[in-house]
Amino acid sequence: MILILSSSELNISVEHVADWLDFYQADYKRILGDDFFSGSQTIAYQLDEEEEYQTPNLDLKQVSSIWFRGFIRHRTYIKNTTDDLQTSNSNLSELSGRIAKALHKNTNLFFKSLKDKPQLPNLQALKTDKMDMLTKAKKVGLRIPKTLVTNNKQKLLEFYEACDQKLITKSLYECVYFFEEDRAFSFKTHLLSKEDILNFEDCFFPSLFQGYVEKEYELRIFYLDGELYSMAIFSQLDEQTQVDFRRYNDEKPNRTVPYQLPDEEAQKICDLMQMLNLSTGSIDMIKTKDDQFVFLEVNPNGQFGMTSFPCNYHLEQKVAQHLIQATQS
Amino acid sequence: MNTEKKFKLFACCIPVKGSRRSTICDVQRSEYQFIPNILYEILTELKDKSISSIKAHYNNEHDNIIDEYFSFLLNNEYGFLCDNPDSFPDIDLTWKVPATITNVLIDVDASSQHDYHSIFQQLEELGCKAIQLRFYTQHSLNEVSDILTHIQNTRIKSIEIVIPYKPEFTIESLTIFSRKHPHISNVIIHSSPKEEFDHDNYNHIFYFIETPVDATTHCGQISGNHFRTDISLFTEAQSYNTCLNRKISVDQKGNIKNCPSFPNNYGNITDTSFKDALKHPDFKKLWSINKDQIHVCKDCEFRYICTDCRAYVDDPKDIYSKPLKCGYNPYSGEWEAWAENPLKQKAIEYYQLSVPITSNK
Repeated sequence: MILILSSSELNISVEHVADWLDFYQADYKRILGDDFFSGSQTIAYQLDEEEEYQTPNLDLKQVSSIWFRGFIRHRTYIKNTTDDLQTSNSNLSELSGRIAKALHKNTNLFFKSLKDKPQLPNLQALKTDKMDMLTKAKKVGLRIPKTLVTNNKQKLLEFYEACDQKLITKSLYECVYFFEEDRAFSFKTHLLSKEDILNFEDCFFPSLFQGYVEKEYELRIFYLDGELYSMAIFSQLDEQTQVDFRRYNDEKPNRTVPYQLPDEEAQKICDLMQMLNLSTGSIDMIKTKDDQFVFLEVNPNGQFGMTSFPCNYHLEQKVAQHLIQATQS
Repeated sequence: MNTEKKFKLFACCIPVKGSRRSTICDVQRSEYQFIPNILYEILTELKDKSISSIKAHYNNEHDNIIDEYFSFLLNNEYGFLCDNPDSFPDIDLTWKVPATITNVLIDVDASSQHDYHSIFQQLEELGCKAIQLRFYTQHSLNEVSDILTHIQNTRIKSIEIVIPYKPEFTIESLTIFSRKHPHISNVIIHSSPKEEFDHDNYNHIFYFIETPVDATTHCGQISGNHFRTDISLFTEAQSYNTCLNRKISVDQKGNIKNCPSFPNNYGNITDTSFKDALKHPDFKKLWSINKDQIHVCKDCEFRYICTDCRAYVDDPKDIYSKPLKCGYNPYSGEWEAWAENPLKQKAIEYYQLSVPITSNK
């Protein structure tokens, strides 16, 4: 049985892969991290008896391959815990942070029980962070932007000059967004001016800064088992999408077309993915105006529908076939 | 403009040659643009040449026009200038879907005795995600609701309902009805006293149209309004029929057909499963008749964004002849009223079509 882990029922890539699994008559089951809070999954991990993670509603022995598309949405359980609590904001965030940590201990136990099964991507490899990726990217010969993590204004000003006065900041952790009724919280890339920096406190929240790379176009590359499926995004034709193509223009979407990465760059990507122990992921790169390729990051759980559909790559079918083959091996 | 560079069309902007003029089909932004056939030639046969060598190819006699062409294409974002066109491969136009059947048409009238539970169960197994329910006689929303309860807990994703007008059909009642059945994508109310169009806040669309839909002979209209410039239709049209491919229909008597407008059937749902009907050697015969094989259509610049009809054709004895209810002439580039075309009168008589006073233009 193929086990699909995801954080939400509304995941269009999971839907499409499930359609292919149905078509191939594969046996699969979808579970959400939320299931462990809604009561539809029971957990029992008892040390004095056999040391085994038990999920009575799901026979882990039947699981023959795993597809990981995310797992936990923190708001589900945090809400139950903190709704009636009268406390200061600072204590509330301390509490949320600690509950999240405790929960990850439990999630890790669950993942550990799946460790000997074929996984897409490897659950251990998911712990890789941006700095780690950039360091390894450099090792395999990929170009990376000038990068700094700091909490200090003076250091940042020096870095600003070193980057020819063009600087961006983006999340050190994942780029996600979530909604409130009248607004959205989003983690996007921002261009910083000198004025912005001068307005910072001397010591600020430790953040990631990178030299801005002038783009000719952007590349989004889906990697699966040594194969690359590349797409060029012409984000520079539209002012709205120049710094971050995720500031989508719905009226006139950026042109997104199939792209053939030079063999040399493709090989470096494959080397990097191997070094990161990732069997799949979505890679962001920039092709500069002076014909350089600059690696930005790899997202092991990146949305691939945005590459698959416009380029007609049928990646959902390829993922389904991969999961079925993993079951048979 | 740097004329030493090559002009590359974005892979999603695909040129299609017609007899008199061509189109660029922008399958990303869902638009098409007419271009003269000479520009089609430049964009296809001369695509590997720089702009200056294209000009030289025409003996530098048309430099201004060629400049105009490329400015137009660049300004409208149909392409870009580059040195390395090989880095931008064409889109592979293979059409694939994870389903044996992709769309179903079920006709219903007052005498129909369909076993909906069995129908939807079978469709689920065939991977079908889209259903059209077409009512010829008046039915209440409660009756339709009862039918739709059999779709709950299936993976069927979209339902279109075509039904004759009743006074109870208001935007309010339709909104409540559609919220109860989230699979509904749109509701078309025919024989309505007035034309109206509305939608609720949940992406359900309601059309009120005056034209009655009281017989299968209403089907098969070809019109610019039905063009769809998107990658799924464009790729499907390369190899398959844009109406009948992976379609199953059930007429009001329960007969299983390619389309209710055809006289022949492959059994009745009371005694034949869809799977068995599909095994009949003739059932899938029409699926692969694509526009490149159909007379006249094969010379038309709209051929990969257009619907088709094999039930009503210009020459009822030739399954490859042009759809009868198409008034477009790709040799002149003009639309005319198909029903007034003297060459179509024999076929109109053959199918016993009652032709509307103003046939589609």
